[in-house]
Amino acid sequence: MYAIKTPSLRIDEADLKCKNGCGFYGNSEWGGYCSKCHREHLQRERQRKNIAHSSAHISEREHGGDNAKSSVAGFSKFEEKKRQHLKKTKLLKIFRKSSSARDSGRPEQTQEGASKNPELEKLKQDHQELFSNLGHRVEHDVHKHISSFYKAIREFVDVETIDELSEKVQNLYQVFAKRMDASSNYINVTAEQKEMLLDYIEKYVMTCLYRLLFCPASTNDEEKDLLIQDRIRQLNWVNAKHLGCIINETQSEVWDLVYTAITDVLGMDSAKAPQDKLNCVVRCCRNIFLLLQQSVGGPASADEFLPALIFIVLKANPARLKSNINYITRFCNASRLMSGEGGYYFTNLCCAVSFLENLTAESLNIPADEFQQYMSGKVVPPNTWESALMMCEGMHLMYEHLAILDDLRKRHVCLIQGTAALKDDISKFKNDIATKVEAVLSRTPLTIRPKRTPTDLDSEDPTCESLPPPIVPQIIAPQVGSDAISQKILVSETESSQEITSRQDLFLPSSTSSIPQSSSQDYLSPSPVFGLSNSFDELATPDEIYAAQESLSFVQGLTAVNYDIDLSDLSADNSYAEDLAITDSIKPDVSLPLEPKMNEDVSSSLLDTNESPTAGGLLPSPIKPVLSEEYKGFSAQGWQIPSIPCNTGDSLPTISSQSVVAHSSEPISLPLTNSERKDYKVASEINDANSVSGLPVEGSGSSSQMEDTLVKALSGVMSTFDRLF
Amino acid sequence: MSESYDFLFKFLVIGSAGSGKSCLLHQFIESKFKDESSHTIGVEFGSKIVNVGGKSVKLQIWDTAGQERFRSVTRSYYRGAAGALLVYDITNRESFNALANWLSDARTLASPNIVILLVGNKRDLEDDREVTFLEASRFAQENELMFLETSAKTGENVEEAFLKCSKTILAKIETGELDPERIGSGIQYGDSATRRLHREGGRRQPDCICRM
Repeated sequence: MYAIKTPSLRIDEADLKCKNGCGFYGNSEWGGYCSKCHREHLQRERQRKNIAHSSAHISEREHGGDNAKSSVAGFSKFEEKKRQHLKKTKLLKIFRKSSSARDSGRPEQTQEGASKNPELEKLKQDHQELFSNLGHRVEHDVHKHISSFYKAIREFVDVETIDELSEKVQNLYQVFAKRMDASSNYINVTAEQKEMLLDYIEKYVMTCLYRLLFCPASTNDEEKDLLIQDRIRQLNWVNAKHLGCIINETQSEVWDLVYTAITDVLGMDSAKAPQDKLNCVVRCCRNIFLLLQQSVGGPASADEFLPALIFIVLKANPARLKSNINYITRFCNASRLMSGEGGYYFTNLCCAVSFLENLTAESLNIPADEFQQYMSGKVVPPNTWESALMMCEGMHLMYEHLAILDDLRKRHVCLIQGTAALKDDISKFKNDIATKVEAVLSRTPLTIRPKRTPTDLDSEDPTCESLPPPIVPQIIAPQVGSDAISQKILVSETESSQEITSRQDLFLPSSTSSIPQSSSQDYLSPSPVFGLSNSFDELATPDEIYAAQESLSFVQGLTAVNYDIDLSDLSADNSYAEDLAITDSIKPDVSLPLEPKMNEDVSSSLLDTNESPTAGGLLPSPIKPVLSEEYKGFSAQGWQIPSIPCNTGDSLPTISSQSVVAHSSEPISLPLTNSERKDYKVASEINDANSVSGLPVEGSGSSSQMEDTLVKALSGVMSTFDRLF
Repeated sequence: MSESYDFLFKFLVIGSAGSGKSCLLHQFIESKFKDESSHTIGVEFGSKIVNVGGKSVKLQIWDTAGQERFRSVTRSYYRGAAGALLVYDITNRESFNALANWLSDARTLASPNIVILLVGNKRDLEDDREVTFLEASRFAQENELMFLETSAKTGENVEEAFLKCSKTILAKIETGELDPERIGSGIQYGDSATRRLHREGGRRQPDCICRM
């Protein structure tokens, strides 16, 4: 099989030599090898025949006798062996009119060929799983096509230009892709698997043809490689700032990524298949994105990526850069190069190389003379890559530490500012709170209410507001007084005169509502007393007195003026005494605090009153309106309360007071269903009794008749006591 | 890729540096403004599948460097692009003035059938506007470009921009103006089934040798 010799058309000196290049002369009898080599060759053949797949030891020192026209065997391993032989055909090389530089590289090539075999084996093993999934038919078909691919290329590799060859290769990819779509063999194959098959073919074929197609002698790739290499070396002074590239030069992680990226791009040269070269570029670019992310603090954009890539290429200075780029461009599957991550990064790489080739002072934004100085090597800018590389570790660390210290200083300053701000905030807060509190205090000061100056009822000005309206004589039921007393009892249980005053105010409006006719109620207003003036004449009860004692201002108010006024007023209302008619319509306004019953009307009248200006603020909380039928609101019946008559009408008041007192006992007893209340009442009565003596009833201008009335009231109380117990 | 698609379109985003090209891209792909998001790992490079005219289209978008110094070397980007978004910053007059240069590059270096969309970015910075809508719209009309104003920060009109471009390309494919089979058109079939369908539609297949 391998002994067939191709007819040699022309033989020159080189042909006569042993094909292994051992320097001895070869003989056609021995297939062009010298005797020694021929013997070795035969031995190896035998070995190969015996061993199925062990290609690691197969020496590639085959004779060049095999031709490209050997028949295609069905088994892949034999195909592979054949391919090896085909590749090693030296005859074709003899006829090739190429530069002699290639010929001298022959031994190198043969040795290199040896390494390809393990590569191909590895490639096959990697795809073993894929093939086992797809079945033997697919595998067979694929390899058939591989061999035909290979043959086709080999046919034309010496004849056509590299561009035409690349066209062919690309065509072959396309054809196979379409065949996969159309052929029945590949119906069950998924798109992904088809891609993988295409990759496999590409890798396989290109690995085999690498020597032929990479940096072919027919092109000037080699010269370009040397050019770009020199150029990059010249530009070694360019640093990241010149390029406008943001790389944090003092961070060690950034440095590591820079080194990794450089290593990746250097690995591009050692890969054989165009895809593998492309993958190196992709890995490099991914690392660049990572290091940019560290420096930028987020995802990087293309504006930042391209300068960084240029920087990396500049510092890496990959070998045979142009050849590699051209190889990828020509022989990598075009669809892969047009789109996808690989395509994008590769395009950027091309841009970077193009930039470096055409680099001028403007593109670096430095003045032209400075550029010239750098290029000629006269001046070396600081912080260049070499300095970073050559600097000893200590220096590098020092710079890093300086950066850290700087950062610390900034943080410290920040901290100081923060604490100062906090301090200011605290003092400000303190001042604010103080002012706020003062404001609140000034707005609602804890002051005792000033005593209300009672209106001078005798004033001539009829428009005075606080003057009570003119008194209208009204008929009052006799029970009014008792109700008034009960009311007083209730009232006595309250705490402050303020509240009492307020209630007073409240009463007035309510009484206004309930008894619109009453006009004499107002006469009570100047008096903070619950008709205490009345009480002195008729209705004074211990409770009242007690209530009077409750607050000083109350008493003061009482002693000051009201008393007089009431008297005078009352004298005018003499008719009141007869008119003590208790009308049931009068609603009770205030109820015992202890009374759980609620009179909603009362409460509403109390709460909702709009007329009293102080109603809202002075509503006493503990007071719950209590329904008490008997009780009519004080204000309601205020006008019905028998008025203290003037001196002239002494007898009447006494009588009325007595009657009132008598009546007063009733309301006392009536609500006393509750034993508690009883006790309370008793206590209050006792208190009142006790306080009676202390009562400074004698105010200004107190007449003896006051004393009389008081005495009478007291006696009435005592009798009540007796009756109770 | 696990998801299948009917077509693959290659898009470019070109324009002056700082006009917000990568933010626009980021907003479209991640639906997030770049400042607020951390780098996501695992997202397939610059691509997104959208639904256009009933077809699912995978858009592969290439972000380009916009610095003036790189303009001469970024020509190789234009090869094989189906659509381009020409971006300027409405708050930056120079970026608008440079549009003419970018456009001439695109027309000369890219495929003649490339679909270009003019995009006025940073619409959210209305206070700093230096280029009026009317002015830009007139420029677009004169140069037969589609025009949209977007904001990568708020996401306004971002998706619409890409979709509009895609729709135009799809329409061109359906009328036959664009041939996906041609290399360099920037369009690829996603599924061989689609390819077969188109093939059976009676298209000319000069390259196919082993036709069944």
